Amino acid sequence: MAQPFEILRLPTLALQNVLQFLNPIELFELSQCSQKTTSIIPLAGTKKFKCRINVSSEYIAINNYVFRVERNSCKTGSELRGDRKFIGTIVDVAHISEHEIMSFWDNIYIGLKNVLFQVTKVFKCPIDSFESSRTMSGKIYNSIIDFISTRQSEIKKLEIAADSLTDEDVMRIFGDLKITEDLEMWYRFSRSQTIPFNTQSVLIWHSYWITPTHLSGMKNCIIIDLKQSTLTDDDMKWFLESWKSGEYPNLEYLSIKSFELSRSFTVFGLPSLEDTVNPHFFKKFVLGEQRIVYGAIDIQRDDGVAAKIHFDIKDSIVDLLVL
Amino acid sequence: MTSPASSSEVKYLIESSEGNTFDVSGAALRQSNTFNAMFLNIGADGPIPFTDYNEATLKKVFEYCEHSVNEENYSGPKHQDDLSKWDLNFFNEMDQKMFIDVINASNFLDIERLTSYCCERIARMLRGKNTQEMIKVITLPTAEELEAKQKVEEKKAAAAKKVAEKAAETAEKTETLEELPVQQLVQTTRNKLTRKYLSFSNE
Repeated sequence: MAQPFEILRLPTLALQNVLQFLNPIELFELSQCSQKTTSIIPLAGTKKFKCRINVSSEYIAINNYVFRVERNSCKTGSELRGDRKFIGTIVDVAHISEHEIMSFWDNIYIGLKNVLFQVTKVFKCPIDSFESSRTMSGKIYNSIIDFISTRQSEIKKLEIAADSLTDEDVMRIFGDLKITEDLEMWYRFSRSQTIPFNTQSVLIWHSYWITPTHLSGMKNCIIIDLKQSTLTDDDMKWFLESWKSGEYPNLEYLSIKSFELSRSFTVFGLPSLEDTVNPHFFKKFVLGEQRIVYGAIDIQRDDGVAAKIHFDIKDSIVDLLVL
Repeated sequence: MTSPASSSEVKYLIESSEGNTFDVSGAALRQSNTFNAMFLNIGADGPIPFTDYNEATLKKVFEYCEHSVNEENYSGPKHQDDLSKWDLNFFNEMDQKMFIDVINASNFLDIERLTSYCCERIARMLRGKNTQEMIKVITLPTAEELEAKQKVEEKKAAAAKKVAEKAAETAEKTETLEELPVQQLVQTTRNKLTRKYLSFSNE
C-alpha cells in the first residue's frame, strides 16, 4: 500500500480503533494535518487523558508524553521537524524522543500558554494540575486560570504563584475552581482571607495570615505544611489538642514553622518535644512523597493512633508524623 | 444449505452484492458478532444477505475467519511482529481498495480480530511520524475539494433556509385561519368558492 491511505474514509469504529493505537504526540501531529483530522482526534478517547502544566520545568504533560517549551535561542543544534500551529502562532518544533516534542518560542510563558490551549483544545481533556512559577506574569497566569475555569469546575492540583497577582485575583480563583487534592500557595495575601481548605494537601509558603480559625478549616487534610506562620504557643497547643482528640482524622503529616513559638514550646505535658538522647529518623510516604522527622517523641491520639512529634528549636518548626 | 449453527460442520450460504452465493462454515461465521446476534440462534432460511459487500471482499473476510477458526479466543490487539507468516501474506496481498473494503465489511460483521489487525496495520503507517510525514501517508481533501464541499453545504443551507421560511409562512397562514371562529371560517370558504364559481361562469 504505497499510495496515500484514505484514512478519513474509514468507518467511525475502525477509525477509532486506528487512533487508539497512537500516542498523544502522534495524535497531536495528526491533528496538525487538517481541520478534519483535528476533529477526529477525540475518537481516540483523549477526553480521558491527563493534562498537567508545569511552568518551572517548562512543559505540558499529556499522560506521560511531554510537550516541552524552549527559547528560540536554544534552537541551534536541535533537529527541527517543521513548524506547528499553536492557537494561531506558528513555531518550529523538534522531536526529542518518542515521548517528548519541543516547540521554540520568544517568550516561554506565552509558549506554555499556547501549547496548553492547543493540546487541550485538540484532546478536549481536563487540566488536572497547574504548577506555576513566581516569575510568570500575573496576566498570563490569570488567562490560564480563566481558560481552565471556563472548561472545568475542579482541578486536582493548583499552585498559586505569579508575578503581581492581587488578592482579588486569588480570591476569584477560589470562587471559580474547586481544588481537590493539592493546594500550594506562594502568593502573599495583603490581609487575612477566608479560603476553602478542602484539599488533601495544603502548602502555604507565606502563612503569616493563617489563624486557628483557618486551621480548623483543614480538618480533612492529609498534609498540612505552613511556612512563615505567626501561630503562637497557645495556637499550636490548641491545634495539637484538637488533633489528639480526633478532630483531624486524616492528618498524616504536619509541619508548621512559626517564629512566634517560644523556645520552650511543648504540649501534652511533655517536658520536651525533642529526643536528644537517642535521636532517630522516622520516614513515611505520604501522598507519594517521603516525609521525614528526626529526633521525635512518641505520642498517641486518644483513639490509640501512634505518631511522632518534634519541635526544632533552632528553626522553630513543629513536625508531626502519624504512623 | 442453512440451519441453526449448532455444529461446526454446518455450512451457510452467503449472498454478496452481485447476488452471488457461496458457502461459509458455521465456525468461521461465528467469529462475526453481527452474525451471532442475528442468526446464530434462529437460523436462516435461504442465503444470508450481506449485500452491501461484494463477493471478493466477503470471500477475503471469510478466508481470514476460516483460517483463524482454531485460534484461541481474541484477547486484544496483537503486535504486527507477532503475526504469523500466513497473516502477513493475507494482509500484504491486498491493494488499498480491497483493504478498505475488508475493514468496512469486517467492521459491519464485527469480527474483532480482523478489524483490530487491520487498524493496527494502518496505525503503523502513522506511528513515529511527524505532521509532514503523515500528510504524505494519508490522503486529505484538496483545497478544491474543500471548496466544492463548502459550496454544496452553502447550497444546502440556502435550501434549508427557504424551506424554513416557507414553513414559517404556512404556519402563519394556518395560525390566521385558526384564529377565525368556525362559523366565520365556513362563511369565508363559502365566499371564496362562490367567487370562484362566478369567475368560471363569467368565462
